[in-house]
Amino acid sequence: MNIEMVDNKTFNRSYERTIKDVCQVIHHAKLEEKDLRPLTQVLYFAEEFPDYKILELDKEVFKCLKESGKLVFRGQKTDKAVLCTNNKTFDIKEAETSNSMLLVPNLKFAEDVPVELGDRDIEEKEIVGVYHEYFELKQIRPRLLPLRNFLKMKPYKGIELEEEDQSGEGYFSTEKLLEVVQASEEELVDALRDVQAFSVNDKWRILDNDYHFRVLSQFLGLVESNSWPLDQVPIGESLSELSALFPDYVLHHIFQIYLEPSGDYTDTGDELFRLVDYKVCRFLGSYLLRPVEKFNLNDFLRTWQDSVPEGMITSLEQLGGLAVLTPDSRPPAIWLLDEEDLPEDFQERFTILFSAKESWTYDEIQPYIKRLATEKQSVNSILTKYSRTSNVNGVRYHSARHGK
Amino acid sequence: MVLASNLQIWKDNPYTWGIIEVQGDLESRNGGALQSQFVGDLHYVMQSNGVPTLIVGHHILYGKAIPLEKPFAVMEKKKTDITTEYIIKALVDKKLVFKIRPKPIIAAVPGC
Repeated sequence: MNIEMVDNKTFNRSYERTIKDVCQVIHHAKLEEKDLRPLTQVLYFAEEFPDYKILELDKEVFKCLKESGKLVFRGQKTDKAVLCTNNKTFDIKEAETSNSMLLVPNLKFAEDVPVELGDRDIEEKEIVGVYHEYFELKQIRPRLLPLRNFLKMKPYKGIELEEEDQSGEGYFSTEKLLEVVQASEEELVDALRDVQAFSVNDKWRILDNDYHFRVLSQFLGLVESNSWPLDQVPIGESLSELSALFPDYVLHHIFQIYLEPSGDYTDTGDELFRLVDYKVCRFLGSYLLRPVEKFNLNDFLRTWQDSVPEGMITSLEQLGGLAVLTPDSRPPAIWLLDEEDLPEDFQERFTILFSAKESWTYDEIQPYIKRLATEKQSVNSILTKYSRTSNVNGVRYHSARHGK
Repeated sequence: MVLASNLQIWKDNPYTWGIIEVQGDLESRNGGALQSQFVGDLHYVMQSNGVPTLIVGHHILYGKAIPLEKPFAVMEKKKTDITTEYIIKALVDKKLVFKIRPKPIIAAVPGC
């Protein structure tokens, strides 16, 4: 239904509504002045409607805005913008309403208006816009896939190969990354930890694979040559032994990845750390797989076990989300498929997984899906939606929904 | 794209804007632009419930104040060569909704 306003020939811009006009209309409308509070707000459309946008604030966003006062839109020109608080990312969607929403600055509500009888007063209020749409927010997972690609542009290959001028393309400070990835600051910090980035001259870098292997091998060699137990590695001595070969910030980074505190100290007060088997085996396994298209599984298992320090035991579970194997093929094979390189889009990801291998057990496929899961959508419900489940001898397998 | 805040504006006085929601569209009788036109008178009844009462043209509308479970932020786009910035002008956490069919006023309003 449309409400027609009184002819604007009478009420043009120069029209000033008076208390007398207001009272007259109350009378015409057969209302009693004493039944109405003594303040009337007289509504006009503003001379111009500024270009405002209305955003419906999610509770989380509202809280963040009140606490930190900061909301940021992120995305490059080609992206669909997202909105970020300090720790969450939201998709912005346009919503429509068939009603007209009139936006009125300084509008007084009943509780702002005196209740007692008195001489009538008027206040002019301007409607600064008529809205039929507003923006809604929906929390999403941060869009972080480009992060690794950005960091791969200039991997760290050792101090002698560092470029002098790092102001150009391929070098990213936190601020610069926040401009190009769609994630909140906290989500970005988590992601930088996940991709094992470290900071050199305030730029985020990842280690070049071969360089990473060299540093780790030297370190493991040092542990071996000193016959240090794998859970009693003195960090101070390691650092001073290796600092002739590698910069301290690289060593600190490597130690941070591969060591965890044991709680013990040497007699001289050097802190003892434990080598994390899972991390060491996983990296060395992926390093072996990387240059090869497919590896004979049995050859791989032998080479891999030989590559890790004595006392560590390799196991295929350590390669979850990193390698695919077909134990039933002839010969049994294994090859690299890094979860972090897969697309974020669910359907695209499943297409790649099922073309790599027709059917997967839950334990095999779960590491490739778990990063897509949210509080609202578990790994299982994603699998139900995007895969076909079958049962072979009591083992559950997942394959493409529209299998060939 | 960058930053969306200018807190001082609403930190001092955050809830001073409101929304009046009506069904359908508001039209000027001669189909002209809405800008600068007079719209109507907004009253609240004396009773404690303070029913909002809007008189627009020849119609009287009774409404209701509704708190917004999810408040609205009013944002103003500020564009420079390099960045697009949204300034939060105000927060709206209540609205007046007029969804009951308007009642016509029988008597003629002066000026018509």
